[in-house]
Amino acid sequence: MKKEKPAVQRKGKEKAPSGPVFVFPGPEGWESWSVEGGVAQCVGPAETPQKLRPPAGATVALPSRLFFSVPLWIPVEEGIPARDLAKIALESKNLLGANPESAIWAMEPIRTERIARPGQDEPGTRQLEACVVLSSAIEEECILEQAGRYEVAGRVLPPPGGGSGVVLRKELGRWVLDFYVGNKWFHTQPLLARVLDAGAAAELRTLLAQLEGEGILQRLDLLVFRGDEAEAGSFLSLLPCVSHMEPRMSPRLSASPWDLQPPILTERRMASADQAKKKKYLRAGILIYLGVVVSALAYFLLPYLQLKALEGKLRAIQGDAEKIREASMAWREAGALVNPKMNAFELLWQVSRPLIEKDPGEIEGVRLTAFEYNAKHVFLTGEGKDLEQTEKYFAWVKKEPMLSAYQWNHPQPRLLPNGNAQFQLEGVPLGAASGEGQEGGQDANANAP
Amino acid sequence: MRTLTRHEKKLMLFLGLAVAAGLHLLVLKVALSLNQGTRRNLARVSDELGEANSWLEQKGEWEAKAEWLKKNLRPSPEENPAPALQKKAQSAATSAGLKIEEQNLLAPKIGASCTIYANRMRLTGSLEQFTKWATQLYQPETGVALTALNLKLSPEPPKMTGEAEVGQFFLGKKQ
Repeated sequence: MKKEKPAVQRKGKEKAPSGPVFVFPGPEGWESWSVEGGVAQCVGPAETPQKLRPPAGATVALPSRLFFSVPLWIPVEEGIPARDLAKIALESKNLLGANPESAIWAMEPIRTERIARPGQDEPGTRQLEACVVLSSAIEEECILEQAGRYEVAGRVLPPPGGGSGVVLRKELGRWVLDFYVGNKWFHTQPLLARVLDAGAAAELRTLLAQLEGEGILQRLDLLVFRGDEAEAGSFLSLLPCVSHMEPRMSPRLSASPWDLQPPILTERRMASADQAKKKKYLRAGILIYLGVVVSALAYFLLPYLQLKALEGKLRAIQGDAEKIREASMAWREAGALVNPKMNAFELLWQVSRPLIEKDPGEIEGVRLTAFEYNAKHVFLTGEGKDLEQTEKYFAWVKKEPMLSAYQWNHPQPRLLPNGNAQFQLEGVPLGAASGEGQEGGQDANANAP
Repeated sequence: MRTLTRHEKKLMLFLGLAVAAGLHLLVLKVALSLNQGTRRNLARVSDELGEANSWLEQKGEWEAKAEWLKKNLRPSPEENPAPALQKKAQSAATSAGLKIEEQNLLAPKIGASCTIYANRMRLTGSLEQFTKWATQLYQPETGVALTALNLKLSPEPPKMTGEAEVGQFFLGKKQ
């Protein structure tokens, strides 16, 4: 028989395992088995599987106290699936509980044999099925949400080899027998005896006889003791079959592994998935809310920051700008003296020019009757021979560059009895036109020489 | 204290949500109001900054003009210059052939940068005489100019009647 390397107890920080990880019920407590660099590693023992902190997807090997192992003979009937017949058989033994549909169980065919059927000439066929029903009262400590698979401990251990054999091992402080036939596990039976002595040997003999009587175990080829040699003592010599001792083996998955997930685990996974979904929505909601808050803050803070920046810039240049504005105000005050566009006689000449000069284009039949000039305005009164000439004069005044320091307005000319149009034209300095108190860049242009 | 029923918990949740929504609306209202004020201020400061920049762009031009005023306008004399101005205006009017109907001295006008002493005169004469008179009076180097003129055709054209203010500009600011 091929012997595997002995397990190594390891402490400290775990490395990432290269193969599957098994949470296994060892002799003294729960163990975590993995393969690192081709060498089997064992961590533990620990009181509970949780304390081993197995990685996600680990296989939990179920100890014998958490399932019912029931080897069943099922008649082979055409058209009726073996599983249905096994279910009927398990229900008849009251192993599937009050709600058989929700019971977790698994089965595997072991061997078939022909049997005589009472009242029929043709012999029938029956099939031995290794059945396992998960205990409904599974311990809380054995429920690992991160577990990927729940297997029977005996199925993940290597069989003893040869025909039919039994492995005697210690599981969580209790002696357990794993039965194999043709390298297939088919039954696990815990012993009542706590110590391997004559009583335990008698119990084992009774059990073998019972299985033999039921036709489940035809003959036992070998009993393998996988445990502490000191504990075995003279026990093996008391047995009625060939036996030997082996070191403990590392677990591995069989070719057709089972998955006996406890229903509560499924419920918890669904609940945690539901919770995770809710959390996801909540997180998304919070993120959206934060996004909106941040956007709102940006919307409200941006103009404030811009305002502060502009105020800073304005403060930096305000003093200089104010001095220049004052200079412009002084120039405007002295406009009559220094600005030809605001000089009384210059203005009188400019407004009279089209009426007395040939160039540019004489305006005929328009004469001024009054000219009023002061700091507030220029006010012209006159008469035109008709409205057309009067309008022509208005247009000329408004376009003349030398009169551009004023904004010109006029009411509708009044027609006199002799057909003449009497008009008034008022020019208000550009800076003063928009309001007495308003001063600024426009003033500067108005005052520009 | 008893545990709340599911229905009561739901009601509490709705109450909490309503209070939170109310608080958010209140905060939003205050924030919008503040934001409106800030944006108004921003527009104002932006305009002020634009205006200040526009002044700075014309710095050279206005500084030269301010310098000219400083250089050419005399500071206000201790003695009232109005009588001398009146005499000058009167003499110019006489020499231009204008008839002085009336004249009186005005109170000095103190502006932001200039002080103007002025003499108001009521005159009659032709446009040519008025032009000659104004040409004689206008003396930028001594700060004398016409500050107001009101010309009208007299009942006997081409004679004109005119009211004029002859002003003399001095450097001086409002206190």
